[in-house]
Amino acid sequence: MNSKKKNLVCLLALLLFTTGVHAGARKTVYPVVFAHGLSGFDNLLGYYYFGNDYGTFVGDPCDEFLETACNGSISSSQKALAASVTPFQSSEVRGTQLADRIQNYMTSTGATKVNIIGHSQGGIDARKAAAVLRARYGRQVVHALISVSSPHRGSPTAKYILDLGPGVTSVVNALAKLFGNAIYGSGNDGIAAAKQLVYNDYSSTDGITTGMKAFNTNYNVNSSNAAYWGSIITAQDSINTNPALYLLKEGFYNIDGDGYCVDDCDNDGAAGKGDGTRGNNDDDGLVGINSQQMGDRLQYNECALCFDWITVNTSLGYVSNLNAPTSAQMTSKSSVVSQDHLDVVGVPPDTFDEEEFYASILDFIVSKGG
Amino acid sequence: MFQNKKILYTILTSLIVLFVGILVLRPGKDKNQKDFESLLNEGKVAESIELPNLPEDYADHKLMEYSIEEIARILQEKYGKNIDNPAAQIAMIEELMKDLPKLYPNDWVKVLNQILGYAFPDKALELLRMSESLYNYNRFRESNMSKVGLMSDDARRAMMWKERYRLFGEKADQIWAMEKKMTVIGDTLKRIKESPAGNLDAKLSNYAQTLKEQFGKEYPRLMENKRQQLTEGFMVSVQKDLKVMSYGERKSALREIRQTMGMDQAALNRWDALEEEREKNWQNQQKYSEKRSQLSTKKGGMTAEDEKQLDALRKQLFGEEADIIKNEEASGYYRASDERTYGVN
Repeated sequence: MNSKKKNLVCLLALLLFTTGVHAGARKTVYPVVFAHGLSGFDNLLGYYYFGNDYGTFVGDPCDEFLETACNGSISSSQKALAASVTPFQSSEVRGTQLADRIQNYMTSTGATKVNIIGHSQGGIDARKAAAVLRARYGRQVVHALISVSSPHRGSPTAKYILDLGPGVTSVVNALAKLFGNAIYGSGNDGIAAAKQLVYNDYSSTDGITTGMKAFNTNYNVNSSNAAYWGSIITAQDSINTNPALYLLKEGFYNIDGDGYCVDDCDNDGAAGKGDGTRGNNDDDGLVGINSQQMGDRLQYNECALCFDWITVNTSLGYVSNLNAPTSAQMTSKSSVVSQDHLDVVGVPPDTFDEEEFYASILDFIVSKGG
Repeated sequence: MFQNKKILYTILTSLIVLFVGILVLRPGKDKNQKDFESLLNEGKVAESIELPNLPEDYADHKLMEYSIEEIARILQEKYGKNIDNPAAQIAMIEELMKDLPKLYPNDWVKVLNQILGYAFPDKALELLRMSESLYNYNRFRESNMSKVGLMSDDARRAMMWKERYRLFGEKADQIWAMEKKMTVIGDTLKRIKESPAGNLDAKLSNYAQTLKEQFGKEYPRLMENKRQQLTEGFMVSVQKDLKVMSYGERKSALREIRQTMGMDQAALNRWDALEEEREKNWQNQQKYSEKRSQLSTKKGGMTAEDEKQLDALRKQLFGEEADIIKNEEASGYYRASDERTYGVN
C-alpha cells in the first residue's frame, strides 16, 4: 500500500473513531467480567442472570455467521466472563472467590487486566476482588469497575428480614421467596449475606464486625485498585415492579430511600434516611437510591432509533468516600434508570433490553480506556 | 332452623359473589392479544410491494432508524438465508418486538404484521403466529415468576417445557437449542460428580466428547469464548478424584485436563506457576490457622503481644494480602476453613 493510501485509511479510521459511528459497542481493551448479585446462577454458565430466556449471555459475541444465541450489539471479538460465586454469602467471602475466578480466567487467557460489571451485591464483591487482585499481582488489575443497582450503603430490606419484621417467618425463607431456592444449596449462609447488606454492624455481641460501613472503610473507591469507578442507579414505582419485589414493597416492606443524613441515623439498615414519603420512586424494590452511587453517577440513554449509550452525570460529582456522599448524591433522582432491581438482569418479567444495556456499558468502558 | 338457613343463604350468596368476582376480574386478553387474534383470524398479510434498495451502512445503525419498507429489506438480507430456522425466526421477531412497542405503542402488532408481510410474504402468517406465541409465552413467564423461583430445577424445567411445546410445538426444541445443549452438559457434569472416584481419563474423554457432540461445528467458537468456565465446571465435578491424588499426580492430572480442553503451552505454564503458588498458600493458611487457634484458645484470651505476633506472621506468610485477611477475620470469615476446590482456588 502506498503512503497516500495508507494515510487515507488512517484518516477514515480516525474519523470513524472520533465520530463514534460503529455497529453497537466497540470491543473493550480488557475482557469484561460480569459479577452476579445474590442468588445468581441458574445453570453452569450463568446465562440466565446476565442474559435472556434462550440461553444467550449478554457477553457472548456473534461471529460472522448468523448466530441466534449471542448479543448482536457487542463486538464480534469481545471477550467476557460470567463469573460464578456462592449465591448467598458475605462479600468478604464472595469477593475473594471472585478474585480467584478472575485470576483463573487471566491465567487461562493471558489477559493482563480486566473490567468488572457487578450487579447488586456483585458490585460490592467487585470492590473486594479488585483489592485482592491488587495485592496478589502487586499492581492494578481492574481497569473499570461499574456497579449496577448495588447497595453500597446498605439496604433496609436486609435489616427488615434479619429483624424478622411482619410477614417474615425466617431469614432463609424470606430470601428464598425473593431469590429462589438456590439458598438451600451447600456453602450458602443467608444470614451472613443479609448482615453484609446492612449498613451498621448488625450485632455488637457476636464478636465480629459486619455490614457495609466497615466494608466500605476497608474497600473504598481507590484508584490503585481500579482506574475508573462508576455506578448505575435504578428505581421504580410499585406498579411496574417485578411481582416478587412488588410483594416486598407492598406486602411487607417499602423502602423510603431518598433522604439524607450522616451514616444510618434512623437505623433502618441503610445510610441516610427517608424523606417521609414511601412509594415515590426512591428505590428499586430492594435498594434505595441513597445507597447506590459509587464513583461517577452514570446516565443510561435509551434510544429506540439509535444504539443506547452511557454518559457521566457531571453535575452530581464523584463519590470517592462511600461512607460520606453529599446530600445531593444520596437524594437526587437525576439519571436514575426507571427499572426495578431485577429488570436489569435476565430475570423476567420485563421489557428491558439487557443485551443493549450491557453493550452500552461496554462501549462506555472503551471510552474510559478499558 | 331459621338461623341455620340464614347461615346457609349467607354462604351461598358469598360463594356466588366470589364466583362472579373471579369471572369478572380474571385476567382477560389484552389489546395486543386481541390484535394478534384478529389479524390471524382474518388471515390477511400485507400486500407484497417492491422494496427499496438495501441501505449500505445498515449494520452500523439500529433497525428502527429506517422506514418500514427499509426494515423489511434489511430483515430479508439479515435473516433471509435462515428464515426456515425457528431460532432465526424468533431472533428476528424479538428484534422487532423490542422496539416496535416503544415507537408504535397503540398498534405495534399491526406494524409488525406489515413488516413481516413485506419482508417474507410467503411466511408472514407463520411468523405472525410465532409472534403471538412469543407474546403469550412472555405473559406466561410474567405471571409465573414468583412460582418458578421456588420450584425444584426439574419441576421448573418440566413446567417451562410444557408451556413451550404448547405454544411453539416441535419448534420449541430448535428455539431453545442452546438451553438444551447446556442442560445436557450440566447433566453430564452432574453424573460425573456423582460417580465414584477413579477413571479420570474416561470422565474427561466423556465430557470432551459431549461438548463436541452438542456443539458440532460451533465447538471451536464455544471453546474460544467459554474455555475457562467449561474447564472449571469439569474440575468441580472431579474433586473426588483430585482429592485422593498426591501433589505430583494431581499436578499432572490438572495439566492433562487443561490440555484436553485446548489450552496452549503458554497457558499451561502459567497454570503450573499458579498451582504451585496456591499449594504454598494453602500450606501457609494451615500454619497460620494452627498458630491463631493456639493463641486464641489460651487461657485469658489473646494479649496485645499475641495480636502483634499474629500480625507479623500474617505479613510474613501472605505479604500484601495480609491486611485483607485481617479484615476478613474481623468479619468472621476464615479462609483456612474454606473448602479447597482443586484447580479452582
